[in-house]
Amino acid sequence: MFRNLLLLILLCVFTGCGYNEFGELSAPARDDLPMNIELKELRAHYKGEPVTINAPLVIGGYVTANDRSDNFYRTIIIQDVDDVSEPTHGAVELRIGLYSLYHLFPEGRYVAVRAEGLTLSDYNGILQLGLEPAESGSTLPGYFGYRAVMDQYVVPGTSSCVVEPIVFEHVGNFSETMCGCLVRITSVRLAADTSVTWGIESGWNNKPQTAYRIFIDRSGTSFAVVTSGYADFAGETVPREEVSITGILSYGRTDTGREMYMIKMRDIRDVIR
Amino acid sequence: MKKTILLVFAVLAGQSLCGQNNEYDYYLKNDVVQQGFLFGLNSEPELFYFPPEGSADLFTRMSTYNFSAVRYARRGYDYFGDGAVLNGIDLSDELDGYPDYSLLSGLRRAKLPSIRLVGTDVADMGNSVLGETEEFVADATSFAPGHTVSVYGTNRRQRFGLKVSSAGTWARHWSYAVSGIRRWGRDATVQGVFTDETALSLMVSRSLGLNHRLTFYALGTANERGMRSSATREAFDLTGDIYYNPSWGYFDGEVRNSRVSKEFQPLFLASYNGKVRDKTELEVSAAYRFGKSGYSSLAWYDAQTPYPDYYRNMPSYADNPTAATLITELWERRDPVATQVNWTELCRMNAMSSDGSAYILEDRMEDIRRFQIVATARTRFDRRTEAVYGLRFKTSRTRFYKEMKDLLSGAPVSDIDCYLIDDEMFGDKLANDVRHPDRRIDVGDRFGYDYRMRSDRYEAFASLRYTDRRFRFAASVNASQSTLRRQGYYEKELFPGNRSFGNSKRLSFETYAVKVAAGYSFSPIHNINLSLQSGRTAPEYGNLFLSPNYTNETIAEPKTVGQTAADLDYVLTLNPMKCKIALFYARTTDATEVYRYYDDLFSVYSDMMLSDISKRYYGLEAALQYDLSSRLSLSAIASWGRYTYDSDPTVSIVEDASGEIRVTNAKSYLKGYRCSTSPGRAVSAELEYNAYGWIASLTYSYMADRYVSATPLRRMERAYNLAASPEGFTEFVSQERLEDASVVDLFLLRSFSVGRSRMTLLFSVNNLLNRKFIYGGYEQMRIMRRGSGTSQQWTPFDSKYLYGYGRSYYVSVSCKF
Repeated sequence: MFRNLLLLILLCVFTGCGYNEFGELSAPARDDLPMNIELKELRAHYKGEPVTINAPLVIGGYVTANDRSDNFYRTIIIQDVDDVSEPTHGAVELRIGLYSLYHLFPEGRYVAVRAEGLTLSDYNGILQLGLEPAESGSTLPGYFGYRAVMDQYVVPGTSSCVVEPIVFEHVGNFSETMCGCLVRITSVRLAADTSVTWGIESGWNNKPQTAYRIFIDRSGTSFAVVTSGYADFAGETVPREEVSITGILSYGRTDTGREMYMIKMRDIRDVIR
Repeated sequence: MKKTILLVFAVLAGQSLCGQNNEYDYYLKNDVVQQGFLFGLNSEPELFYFPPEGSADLFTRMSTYNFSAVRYARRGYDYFGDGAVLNGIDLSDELDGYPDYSLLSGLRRAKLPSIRLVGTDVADMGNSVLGETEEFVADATSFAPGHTVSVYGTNRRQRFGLKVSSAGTWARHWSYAVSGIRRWGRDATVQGVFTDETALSLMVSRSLGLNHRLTFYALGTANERGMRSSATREAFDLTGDIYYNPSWGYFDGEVRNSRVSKEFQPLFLASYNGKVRDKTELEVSAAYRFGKSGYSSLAWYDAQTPYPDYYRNMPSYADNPTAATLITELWERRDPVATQVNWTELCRMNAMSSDGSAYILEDRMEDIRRFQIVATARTRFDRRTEAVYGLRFKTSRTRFYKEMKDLLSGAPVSDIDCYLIDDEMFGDKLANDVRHPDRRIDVGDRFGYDYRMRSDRYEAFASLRYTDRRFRFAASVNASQSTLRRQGYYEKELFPGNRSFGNSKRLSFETYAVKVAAGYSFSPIHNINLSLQSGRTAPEYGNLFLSPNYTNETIAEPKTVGQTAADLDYVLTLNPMKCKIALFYARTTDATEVYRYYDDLFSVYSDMMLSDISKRYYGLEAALQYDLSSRLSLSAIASWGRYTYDSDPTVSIVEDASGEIRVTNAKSYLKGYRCSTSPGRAVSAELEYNAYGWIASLTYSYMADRYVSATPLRRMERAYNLAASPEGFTEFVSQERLEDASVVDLFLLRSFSVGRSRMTLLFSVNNLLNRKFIYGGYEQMRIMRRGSGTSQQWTPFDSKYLYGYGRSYYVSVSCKF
């Protein structure tokens, strides 16, 4: 009997291999898709109205803004850096149309885009790439909307570089060619006397609304900080003291109809006291 | 020499072990529903090729295996309609009410003798189930002495197996029966499915004089199994693969499954059996079972679902024709980036995350501690009359919790409710346990939920039998009192205080079952039997709590479930023919079911409680055995039945997060809908040749009248009134009938002597003709909205299905010496 027990033990010796172990992920098999045109040259292809790119352009840049705080909705912004990793004035918004993009496109991740067949347009000075507009007459490129579609054009890379903001002291130094870029303006104050929050969590129709908070720089020039009511920091109070603001630059019309430069923050950490 | 042969067997089998990870190899309520669903699909040929010894019921023997190609439960009773007993120990789970599949599987593989009782058969222990009860006997003296070594190969659920068993006597008065089984390998047909199992069964009996015996038994099965998930017809059609399994994907080129179950819950039993008086035998058994089981699942935090067949990922959802075409192409060419879990991308995203993994693999665990003691006395008053009576006590402590299985290349996560992250109302109440806030969860840590279910049950039973030459009478009664309570160890921020932490209300149920059976033999040829049953059983714990993972909240009016049943059968024994025809009827009433689901009309996670559920089961069973000659026999069974809902349950819907009652006293018009547990018509015929050490059989089985499991949601006015047309209405309320299924099975066995040993070669092929058919299906609790404003349309989600196995084989070589 004891010999048989030994045989039973033998059974246990031949344990199965790990059928479902994960372990460490190996290094990626492929290099990043190289660009054949710099992002800052993309603006030359836009002539004032939506245009379909017919050339096999491949652009690339590093993610500077995503939907992590829900201030950017279903889109990401990528910006190029030069050889010494200094930010350039090349940036574009990609109209992805999916949710929770910040996992796939964290800040700093390299993203390449096969632009052929895509529509290039502009909104508040920011270049946008996407599918053809969903409605006729619209200037907004359509969202990719589906992962399978996005994968045809957008190729997440393996390299990364945290893009530093271009620093300004005066609004007057902004230019429209910088729209879409990550900027920081220092020493600015809220123009309003009353206490306000960054966004409107519950507006006139009980729904979240976008708010435009006017700030002034030391020279007294105004600009707006635009925040969606859905942003996770929308309910936080705007500081009254002098701060620095980082975000994506654009130029457009506020809710009161004034045209001015606007900055959209990525999250509450973009306010530096 | 014998040892050498055995070692050769073991080594040859062991050679096949490694290499199973090769990606080129062919690559398994709603979880409770899925587990019950897969019960039959997991059945394996070796469990049923040697029918339990002592089972005289031909229908039982043939139906259990021959109809297992489709979802089958005898007489339509769901899987919790069955019971199992081991030396008087009730093996039913006190919380679910049904016997554990892997425990039953272990007992059958260990070849414990058993008998099967059907329906209203009067059992000595006074069992109260409607379905089959399998009574196992652990007694080492009942095993034929000798040693057996078996090696087998199959292409279904695993590849290879090795079994060693030995029985005999050892020293004076000691008998033993031991067996060890090792089986492993990947399924040859369904990718992601695998088995890795080791089971040991150790039994020792000690005779204490002529009439007394002590038995000690230990059964332990450690297993890990890759599971298969159901999918929509769209996914099967696009991939062109009826065995498409969305649960797996590639990780660095290797197949990895997100749904893996694992278990190690050994059972220890001690039994005393002896004659305590002239006419009275006493059996006292005590059993203790402990250990853990669990199954893995992907979870994600504020991220897109990783499951490839999520409805928004399918071409049918795309309203952009270009996108639909592109997605279709990806699915049709079976690009794993689209059709399977993309493990590599999940891991890369996690590695880039600065705030912990966005995607994790979690284990949903159950840690059981169960003790039971039963004392049964049997008194034979005379040669015609005997009584069996006894007492039983069962206590069970089951701890439920989640455990971090793998962070998938990411960093530890916060213990927060991932379903509330984007919730507008409760997005600031995320903590799963406010008593241990801000915990970061690493691999092996508990998180999510942690609670224990405590149940105790006191039972008394008695049965009386009278048998004379022509007349038989039996009656049994079983009465019990059981209590159930939840104890939460986490205080959930959403449900503060006693709503989640500490003890729930104590639920108490008094149940009973009364069975009466009488039979009369007109002659040795003609016999009739009539059995009646009435009683009430306790409901499953999952139907007593609205959301047991998170709250102590119970349903409003917990009730026991009523059961009545009747059997009338006629047995004809006229050599060379034996025939049995049985009419059966059963009805259950006052049942309650709780569904946890996402309500698309309210756009919130909700709990739906159905009460006053009644079901009716009636039909006919027939079995025939005809000896065509001394070597050739024909066996055939047939069943016809209708298994339907017999009431329109009352429905309440509660919003899960807020507890707000959204719907009360509504109706789900389920009356008349079919229970999907079993085909309404089933026939099987087997021709067997048995002579000169050969057994060969060819079996044809046909199963029809099969239906997809109906969801109560679609039979509510709030759902079907959304239909915009008569066709849309039909789409909501009609119950899909599945195609009829038929299989041909072949079985060959050759047994011969080699010296003093006995060799047995077995070869079987299931579904010889490789027929394709759906094993079973269920409707989803989701309704899809398309468009907006006046063009808005609502349609039910597609149902999900599992296909039955195609041609599969089983080969074994045994040596008994």
